[in-house]
Amino acid sequence: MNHRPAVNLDHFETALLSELQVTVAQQYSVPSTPQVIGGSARWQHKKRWQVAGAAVAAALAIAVLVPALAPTPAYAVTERNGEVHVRVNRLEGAEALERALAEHGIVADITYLQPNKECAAGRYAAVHTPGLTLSVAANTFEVTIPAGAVGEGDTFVLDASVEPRDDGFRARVNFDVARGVVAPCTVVDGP
Amino acid sequence: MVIKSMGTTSDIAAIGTQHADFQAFYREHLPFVRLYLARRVKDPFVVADLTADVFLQAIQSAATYRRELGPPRAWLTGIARNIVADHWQANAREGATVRRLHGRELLDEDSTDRIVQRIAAETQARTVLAAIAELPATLRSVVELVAVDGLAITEAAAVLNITAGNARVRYHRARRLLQNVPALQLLEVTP
Repeated sequence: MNHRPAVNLDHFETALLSELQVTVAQQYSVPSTPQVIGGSARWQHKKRWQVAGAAVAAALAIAVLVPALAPTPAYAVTERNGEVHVRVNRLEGAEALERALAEHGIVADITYLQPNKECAAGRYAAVHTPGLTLSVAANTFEVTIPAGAVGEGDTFVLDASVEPRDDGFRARVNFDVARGVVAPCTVVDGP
Repeated sequence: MVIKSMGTTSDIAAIGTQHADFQAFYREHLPFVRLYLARRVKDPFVVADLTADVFLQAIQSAATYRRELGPPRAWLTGIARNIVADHWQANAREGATVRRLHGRELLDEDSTDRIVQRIAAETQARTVLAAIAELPATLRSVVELVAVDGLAITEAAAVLNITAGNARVRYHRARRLLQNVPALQLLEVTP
């Protein structure tokens, strides 16, 4: 593998790269490592790829997320056959999202962080949760919580941050079902 | 800043699903695609559409890439050739090409100007393409790829699915036929 100087991209070429990255994401299967994705807010497709919580260490996904400019709700919680879907359009209203999940019987700990920040590891003990998945689109992400996945004494934990990149934005989403006490998030610098 | 150079079979397969690999591939091969299209299409909006088509096809075909198809640039050139041919055929039958991604919608004024400038700068290449238009197709294809697009004989052979020896013979035969055409200064190719 050799290296070559990077080519400068103009507006069109940068936008095209972002659009094409969405197609790459659509062809994406369950990854073995976290992914970095470029993108733009123009895409309207609902789902790009999924990450099974149990398949990735620390259930961490890094992907595109562009804060929506339109006055869409920051989040939406829906339930179908006991399966709860949490769609996040903007990293706003973490406590309100926690309350919305509580209405569906799910204790949640939601933390939205500043760019390039994350919660220090070791704040909870994760439970292996088949079916806990994250779907990421260019301007939103959605977590699916299987029916009964968050039991008595469990907490659905999600922390996320967004930072701009030269080819779009990067969103980092960490999600798990935790058993027992969940310690407060100690904010640290991201990788 | 440096980027990865995409050179192996596994790298090409990965561009269909891995964003970092696709981005490296895009950045490495975009300069070639820019020029390839600017030499053959005069409408900047069509150039934008076809640029999107070329890389989109590369993403969708990546999983089928085999080393026998030649090095990555030869493989991508084959894709570009088919895309351009499809475009002209659609034009000839006055039909619209069905495309998933309209590159022209991503253009801004500056990007359009850059494509226009690139098209203008490739006048000499279009003169050569016009001069070799009367050659038999089998000879013309080799000359086009080698003398206009700068591919090595072996790369041109891979694009055309012929042996390097066959490509060499065709190239020299074309040179003899074109020796009195002033617009052409065909490169000497070492066997």
